[in-house]
Order: sequence, then C-alpha cells, then structure tokens
Amino acid sequence: MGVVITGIGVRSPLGCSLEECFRNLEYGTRCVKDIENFDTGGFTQRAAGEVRHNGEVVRTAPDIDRKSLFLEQSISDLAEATIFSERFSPEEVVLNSGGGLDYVDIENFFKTGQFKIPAGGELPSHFKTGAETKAIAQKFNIRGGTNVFMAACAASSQAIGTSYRMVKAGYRKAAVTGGSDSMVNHINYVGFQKLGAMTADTNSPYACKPFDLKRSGTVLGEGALVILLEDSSSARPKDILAEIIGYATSMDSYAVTDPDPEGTSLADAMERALKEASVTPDMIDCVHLHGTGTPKNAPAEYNALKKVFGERVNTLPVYSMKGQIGHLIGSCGAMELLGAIYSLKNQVVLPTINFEEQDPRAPLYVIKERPHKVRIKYLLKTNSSFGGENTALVLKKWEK
Amino acid sequence: MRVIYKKYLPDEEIPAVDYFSRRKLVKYFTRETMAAIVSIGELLNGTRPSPDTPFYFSGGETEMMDLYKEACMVFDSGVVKFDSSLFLEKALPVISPLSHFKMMRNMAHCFISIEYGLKGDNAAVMGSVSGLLVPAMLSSGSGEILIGAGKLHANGTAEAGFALVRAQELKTHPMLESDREAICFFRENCNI
Repeated sequence: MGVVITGIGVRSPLGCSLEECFRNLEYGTRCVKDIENFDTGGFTQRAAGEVRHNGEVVRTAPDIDRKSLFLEQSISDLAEATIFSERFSPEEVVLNSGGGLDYVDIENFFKTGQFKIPAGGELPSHFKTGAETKAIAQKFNIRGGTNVFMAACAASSQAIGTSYRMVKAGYRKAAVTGGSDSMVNHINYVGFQKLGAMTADTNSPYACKPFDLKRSGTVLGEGALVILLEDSSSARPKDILAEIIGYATSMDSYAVTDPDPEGTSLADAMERALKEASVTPDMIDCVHLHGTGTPKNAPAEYNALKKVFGERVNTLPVYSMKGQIGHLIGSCGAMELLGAIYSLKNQVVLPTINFEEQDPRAPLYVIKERPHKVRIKYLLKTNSSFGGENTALVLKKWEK
Repeated sequence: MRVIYKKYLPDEEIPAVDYFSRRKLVKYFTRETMAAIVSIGELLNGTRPSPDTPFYFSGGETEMMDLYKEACMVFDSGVVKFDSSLFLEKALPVISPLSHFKMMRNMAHCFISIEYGLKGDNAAVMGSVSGLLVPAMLSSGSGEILIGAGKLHANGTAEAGFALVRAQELKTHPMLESDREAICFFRENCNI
C-alpha cells in the first residue's frame, strides 16, 4: 500500500497534455519567449513562459484570470482521464492547490476604478483566488475540502505534500492536488521585476540559466498542473505514474528576500523527507532542485545538498526545469513533477536548459546538452520560496 | 488549548512595533500581519517556542486595492483608454516597493517564523478552519503545534488569532471539518 499519482491534467508552456509536455521535455524545446498575450509596451523585460498548445500561445481576453482558467481546464482533463468522480464519493476527495497573487484586469480597472468580483462570488472583499478555486471544486463536485496554499514558490509542493499526508493517513481517499499561477500580466509581472529577482538578460529563450556561472536572475512562467493522489490499493494499476513516499517542509527563518546561504533548513527538510521514506541519501539517484537562476539560489542549494549527501554532491545528477519554462511561482513545484515523472519513467536525468558553465561556488553535477541515462528508483524533489519555506518530496518508481 | 484572538477596527492603530524586534520591518506589514504579530506576541508572552515547533498559518485579505487606485489616479480623469507604455511611465513611480511585499500571501507566516526562529514543519494556506486544522493535525512531530489565522477586511478591519495546540486535541475538535473561514476558529475559541 502506498500513495500514488494516477493522473495528470496540465496547461503549461510545454503544452496542454502529458504527451505534448513529455515530447517537449525530450526535445529540449525552449518555451520561454517574448510575451504575446498582452501589450508589453514600455516593458524593459518581456521574457516569460506562457502556456502554449502545439507551440502557439494560448491567448485570452484581458478579463480572464488565466490561473483560474488553467486550473479549471487541468482539473477537467484530470476528471476525464481518471474518472475520480465515479470512483470516489464527493466527500472522499479534497482539492489542495497552490495559488498565487490575485489577477487584476488593469485595463478594466483603469477605465472604471472597479475591481471585478468573479461571477457568483459572495465575498465582501477583493480576494478572488480562494473564491474561484472553491467554485471550481464545486463544479467538479469535490466536497472533501478546498484549500489554497499560499507559500509563494513552495505553495504547490506544500499542497501536494499535505495531500500526500491526507491520503496516507486515510483522512481522504483521494486528492486532486497541484497548483496554478500566472504572474504574466501587467501588475504582477512588473511587481515581480521590482522585487529584483528577475534577470536583466533580454534574450528571452536563454534568459534563465539555472546553476550557470552567468546566471543573473529568473524569468516568470505560468500554468497549472494537477495530479490525482490515491491509495495504491484503490488505484487502477495501468494509471500509476509514480509513488510519493516521503514529504517534509521547513522554514529558513533567515530573511524574507534571500535564502539561507548555508541551506541548513533546506537540508533539514531533505533529511526528514528521506527519513519518512525510509531511504538513505546513498539510495537517491538524482535530485530535481528548485533552480531559479538567481545568483543566491544555487550556492544555497549546493550547500544544502552537501550537508545531506556529503562528497557525493559532486557526482549526484541534479536538474532544474526553470531554464526551459520559467518560474511558475505558485505552481512551480507541481509543474516540475512533470520532470520528475519523466525521469522515473524514462530513466534519464534531463539536461538543464541554458546551463553551460559550472559555478565554482556551486559545483553541482548539472546535466547539459543531452539526457543522462541512469537507473532511477528514488528521486528527491525540492522547492524553496521567497520568504523561506522549503519542501522536499521523495518519489519512487512504481513497482507492483 | 491556549487561544488568543484580536480585532482592530479600520482606524485603530495596531501596536505591532511593540511586539516585533526588528521594528524597521514593520513598514512591510499589512494590517493583517500587524494583527498577527500582536496576537502571537500576546500568546507567547515573552517565551520562545522550540525551533522545530510546527507552524501553520491561514491568511485572508490584503489591502492591495489602494495600490491599484493610487496607480490609476495619476492619470488625467479624461484618459479612459489604457496604454501600456503610458501606464508604466506614470504609474510605476508612484507604486512603493513596500507594496510588493504586502501583496505576497505568505508574509505573515515568514515574518513570524523569522521573529521566533521557527524552522519546522509548516504551511501557509488560505482557506477554511478545516484547511488550517487538518494539515496541522497531520504535521510531523509530537509536541505542540502553533496555528494562526488572519483576515483583513476591505474596510481595513483586521483580525488575527493564534493558538498552541496538540494534534490529539485537533483530532476530536468539533470544528475540524468546518468550512468556515479559518479566523472563525479563533473568534470562537478565544480563552485568553
């Protein structure tokens, strides 16, 4: 008996189905380009990973909150693929989703001075994300609870980790979990740029360079990914994509804007997740890191890995997806499960797009150019937030 | 179970500076974060929990509408067509960098973790009583768990509450499955 992933719904810069996403992961398609969905006149940076289908940006009108739209579409695909609503009662399924900042239709707000409350929203307030997520849960008849996790870049990993605990403890039979976010709009994009974490490199496809010596910052992306988590005893064997066997979370308690350069709490999360999984560090075959492309991220992650893996840090393959699709903030951990599942399924560690030259301050074993074939039974996935929350998930290749 | 709950009306000053050691950082706080800082300060009353104490916080409202209004008011009232270049040129300079910290939903969680050295199991959520209590109940560790919630109303009223609880208490709590806002737990169980 274990907690297994039995389906995926996705709207991503890589594509809008698992097959399309896997194909673009395999080809190493660069999905960060200049923003197309809205006018970027006056912007000094235009790079972003927008949601694409067959290579074309999915365009929406200004009054559409893309993160809500993508969440709904992803859950719709998941519901169809896994028929969870037929296999579980509504009260047996919980929706735990990582979310992000509210979307403001600035064009409409500019004209009217009014913030558009979503249709049916009963809030005496302006907070939309919670109301919209709740409405989506109701639409798919999910009645075992709706929770939006808000720990910024660790939000969706906390949602998935909490879902894992709920299913493992038997508190819920199944969880629809993951995340959806889009900061690729006027207010949130420019706001993020003002925080100073965005790269100044304007050559969009090459702008985000995780772990690379010349990295200068991250690039925003957008999208949604939801998975169905359930007990392996109830799962349809053909649907099982991977097993989650450990989860832990910690806080740096260091600074709001910067990671702890020593990576102490990140290492603690890794160690506790490994302990829960009954896996020793030498059993981990690769690590999928947060890898933002910011100058301070890589040394912190390197130091954390060194604490857990010792000298093996120099030969343990690591990976980040953000060079390829950008940083999806509230949904990055969920989206990056694609890379983890791809690794477990195909027994490869993918190259980190745009990584070329190792940084002596973070001499990680980053795969470049072509996939690295290696036996992968246990995979460690980490994320860290702006604010200091860290998460670690241990995934296992599914074996009957 | 020790529970504290605080409520501040729109024009009421929230004495967060009296409860936060790095006073300069208070300018980054929303009123919700300020109320949370006061609540946890009164709950802990000078003591420091163990660094590995699990810490779960459910946030609520923010006051970002002021930011958008501020940004739009710099334009002449006759201008009704949105122009990206013009917007960036005129509106951005009036938006304070502090606002971007206030926009982020995990700030109360993070500032409190820094103030009290909390490094353990955690989550920052936005949701119901159940959405706060269940993750806390399932957290790792066997000791006390710190839970909190905040809410900032559109009119500026701020509420926050904190409690030190044990997983076993939560397991049998009558509000465990409640889908009402997380702050309701503190409103109704306040005993300090």
